[in-house]
Amino acid sequence: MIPHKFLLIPLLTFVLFFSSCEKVIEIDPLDSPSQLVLNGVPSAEKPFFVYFANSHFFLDTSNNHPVSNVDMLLRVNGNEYRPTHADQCRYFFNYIPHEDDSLSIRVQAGDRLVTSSTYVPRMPQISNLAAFINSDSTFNLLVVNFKVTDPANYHNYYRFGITQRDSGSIYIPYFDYSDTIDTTFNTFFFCFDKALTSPNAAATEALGGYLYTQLLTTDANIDGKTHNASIMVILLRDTNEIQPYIHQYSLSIECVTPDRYRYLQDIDEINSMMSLIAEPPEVYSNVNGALGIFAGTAKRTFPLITISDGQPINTKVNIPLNEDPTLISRYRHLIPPHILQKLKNRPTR
Amino acid sequence: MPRHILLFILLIAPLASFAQHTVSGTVTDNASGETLIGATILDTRSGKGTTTNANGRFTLTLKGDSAMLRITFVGYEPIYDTIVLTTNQSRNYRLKSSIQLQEVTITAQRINSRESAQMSALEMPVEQLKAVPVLFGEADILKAIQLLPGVQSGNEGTGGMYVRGGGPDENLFLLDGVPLYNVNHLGGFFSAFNADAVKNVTLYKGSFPARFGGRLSSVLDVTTNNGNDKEIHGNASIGLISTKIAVEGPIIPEKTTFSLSARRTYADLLLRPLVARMALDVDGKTKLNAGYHFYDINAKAVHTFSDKSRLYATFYAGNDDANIRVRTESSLQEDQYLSYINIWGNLVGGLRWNYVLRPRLFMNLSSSYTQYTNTMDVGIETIATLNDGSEQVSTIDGDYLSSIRDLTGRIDFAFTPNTNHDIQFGTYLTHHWIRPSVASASIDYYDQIQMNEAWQMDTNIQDALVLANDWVVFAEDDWNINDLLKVNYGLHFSGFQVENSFYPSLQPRLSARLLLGENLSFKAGYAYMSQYMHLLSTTSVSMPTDLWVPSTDRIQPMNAHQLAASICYDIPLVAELSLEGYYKRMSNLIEYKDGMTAFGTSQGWEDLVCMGDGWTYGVEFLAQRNFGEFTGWIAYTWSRTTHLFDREGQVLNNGNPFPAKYDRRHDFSIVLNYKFSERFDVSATWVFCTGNTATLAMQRYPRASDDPDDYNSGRHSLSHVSSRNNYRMPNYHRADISANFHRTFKTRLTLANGQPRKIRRTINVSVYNLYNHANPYLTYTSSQHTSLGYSRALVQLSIFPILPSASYTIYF
Repeated sequence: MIPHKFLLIPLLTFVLFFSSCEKVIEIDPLDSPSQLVLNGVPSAEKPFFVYFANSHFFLDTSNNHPVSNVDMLLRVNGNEYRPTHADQCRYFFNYIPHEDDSLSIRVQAGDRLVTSSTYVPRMPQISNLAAFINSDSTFNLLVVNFKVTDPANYHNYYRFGITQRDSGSIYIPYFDYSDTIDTTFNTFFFCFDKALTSPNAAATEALGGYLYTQLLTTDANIDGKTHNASIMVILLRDTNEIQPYIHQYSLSIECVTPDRYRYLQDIDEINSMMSLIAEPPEVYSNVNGALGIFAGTAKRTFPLITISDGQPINTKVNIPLNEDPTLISRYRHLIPPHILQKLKNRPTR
Repeated sequence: MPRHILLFILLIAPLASFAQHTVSGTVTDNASGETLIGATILDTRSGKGTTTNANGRFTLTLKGDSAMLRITFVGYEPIYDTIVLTTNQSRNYRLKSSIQLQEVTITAQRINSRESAQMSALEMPVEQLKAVPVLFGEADILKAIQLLPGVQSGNEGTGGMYVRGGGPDENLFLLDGVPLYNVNHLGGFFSAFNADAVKNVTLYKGSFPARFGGRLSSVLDVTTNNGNDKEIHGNASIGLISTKIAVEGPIIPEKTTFSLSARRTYADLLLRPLVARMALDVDGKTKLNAGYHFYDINAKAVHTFSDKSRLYATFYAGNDDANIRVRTESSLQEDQYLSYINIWGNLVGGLRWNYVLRPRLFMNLSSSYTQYTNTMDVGIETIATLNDGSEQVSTIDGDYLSSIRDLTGRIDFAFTPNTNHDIQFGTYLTHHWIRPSVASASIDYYDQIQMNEAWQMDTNIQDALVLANDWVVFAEDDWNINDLLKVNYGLHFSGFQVENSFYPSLQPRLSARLLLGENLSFKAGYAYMSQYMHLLSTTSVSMPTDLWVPSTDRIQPMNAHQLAASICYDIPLVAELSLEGYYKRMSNLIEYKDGMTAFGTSQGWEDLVCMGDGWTYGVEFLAQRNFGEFTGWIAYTWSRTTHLFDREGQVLNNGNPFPAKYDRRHDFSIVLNYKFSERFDVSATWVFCTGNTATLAMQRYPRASDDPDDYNSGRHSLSHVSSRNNYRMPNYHRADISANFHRTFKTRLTLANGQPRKIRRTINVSVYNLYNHANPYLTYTSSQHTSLGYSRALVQLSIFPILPSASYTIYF
């Protein structure tokens, strides 16, 4: 019979083997002092506010760390505005931005000074919007066609995005480290419009990137022209959900300032799969003395489709269903095989 | 012989003196006939001496009527030979192995270090490197090299080498003179060099001799065994990870020899049934067949035509093979087979002919081929049973190939015109075929059960085949100016032609030694290096997806100027000490832009990287003892490496300097070997390193929105990075220990000399990470842990706790 003390040897070895896998590293928050943050997106025809706060330590999950002794002044076309009220680091103004407004902001927070300036671009000229959708067991393919008329001698920066309304909140589907894999691959965004994806135009690849849910482009190839644009979006059918659900999708088209364009490009980089193993990119800022962005936009939003319990239904916009039955077969191969496999293996309700 | 070589010889011929006579020949091991590299030949009357080269040859030109030569080598009995110098002499010496004569060994070491003008070079006895305890008890030369000063390791357990602030792609690994592109197995946990096949290892960290080029930071010159020319000998071993066998012997006694060694890991054979059973237990349906192994084969044959002519043939093949095959039932009507096969590795072949043209002129003519390939095959096969009972097969198949191939032709000469000059010159041309990546996908899909649809696709995406030529001419002279001052100077010219560009580079090399006393010497050196090949690596771990790409029209070659100075002191009968400082300035370095990396494809890689500059400086201390029962070394390095990327359009870190990824302030290692008796010896190491740098975004803030409600969720937050590599991971330290138990048996077999053949067995027991210190491998933010009252924490993952291992080896 083996003595008990010999049995302890493999047991001890086993315990030691797995005892040192993970260990919390203590980091002093004082090694990384917080920074001021100023976000202001003057959006044409929408009430204006500025977010002004302290950044927070990366282990801290709480939001909105206020700054004390704030003196904020907004100048618009020579007129001065001060906040009417503040709520959770948001400073509201009695001002609604209009096209071509010129804005500058100056914030004194104790002995720290924060300044920036921007303008409000002109509204995008969109017409002839039409969309149709095709469905199969795993996804819906949404095709959006429209005409964009680009003003001549006016350098425009465009952002095309798909907005998803879900459970009462509106958000732009995007990739985030905290998201689950299902959320990550919830929406594929493809742009087959070469004119909008020229080499000088956008971070989005010519055939689209399945992690991008926005298209950033310039008017380099359509300056002064009326262009027929076409965007395709693959909407995966989330059959994992237990309760019936309704998803509403909208197309948003923005004209943005060059500063906001660079800012959104950096966010595209962060959202790409590359950033998981690459050096984390620093997001562009045009704010002196703080992080964040102060950049104008002019946005138009068009409701496109509502998907209820996995089935598309018409909304206010008349979207024909299955207009082109061959479309899904033509483009289905663009979904990576492992995602397709994952979808096929999901339990069906 | 080419006309220009004859012209060169005529030009330098006046250096020769007619009153001198040349003694030339080889020094070999008496028992095996193996040539000895670095053996010392000293005329005790005149004090003139030399050492054998990589082929075991020496040439010594002497004045006077006679000479008393003493031939010595570490661990061998000396030979004394009195020569009458009336004509040029050809002498071959066979040294007998000895482990007792410490004094001789000391003398050999002292002369080597004192005589040579070469600096920043480390030549470690292979047996000492093999004795270093390492991960899983698998003797690994690269891991042992990492314990030397000026050499830093990458992540724990990996073979990545960072020499004097250089990246892992800035090291030239030569196997019998042929470059190896990927020197790692299993993500770098094991190196491609099978220690049983290796005869000699020399590491150059600076002041590179002119015959070397193509990399900025180091040259690791590995020479394999030629093979025993008298009897067949070998060894076989089995360890925790691999099993190995090595055999060497004569094909034609004292004429033709061979050396063959092979190694294979076998964990896949043992674990495959276990893995399959575990997968089956999950749902009772999944059948999993998964495994990983690597193997390598070294082979070498040497044929001696005469004392003047010898032919070497070298072959190496090493592959890693990872494969997974899974069968699942996705529904009652469908079976699915998923397969993944990934094979990557090197194939190397070389032919070299040594010929003694004149007693003072020695020629090497060689050609070599090296290739690295990575192939991957991913497939999904679905077999659906239709309602009528027939089967419908659908396939999705993806293939990937990445390869680099080099073909080199080379001729070089060693010429010793007189006692004071030892000249080497030559030229070589390398043609590169570089295919960074080829990907193809085919789909033949039928979905008759759910959608009654089908589609097919067959596509091929590939990077363009890049052809490049690398032409090199070099000449160097080891010049003994007087008894105190010796200089090694040379020029290395290389021209790299790729796409529409031709990059010429003239690289001066200089190294000088000044004797300050009997045991004290001062050395200084300068080297300029250029590098035309770059490694696109995704992570710090060696991955098969790492791609070699050449300089292009847009990406210029990397360059480095390096200055170094050292002082060496021998403490007689104790140890050899050296203190060396260096400063290296690098240009056209490559770093990925923020947020960018290449993964498996080089398409558009030039857009993903920035070019910049860097500088590194440091001090290295080495105390080394190579003789007696107690051997080992103590190494310490203090260094700092900084990068600056501030060129227009290629700015990183806002144009400010930042520490390089493997900038470490302190590296300290102790390696101790003690031989208690012929039957028992012990080795121990302890290492301490400053933690690696990492970029850690320590502040977060909300993403901008024109909707006030978006600021309530806290979901869309951005990271703020104060600077690149702003965070330093915890310090690294670890102790390892190993013990060898030897025993020798006599057999009934007899050797050629009539003596009974002996068999020796060695049992090795080793412990890695003796005190189970949790060293950081990587860090990540986890919401599963708390720290400082926050609901998240920064967590380090450690992968190697205390790891005991054992191996059993038989030598015959």
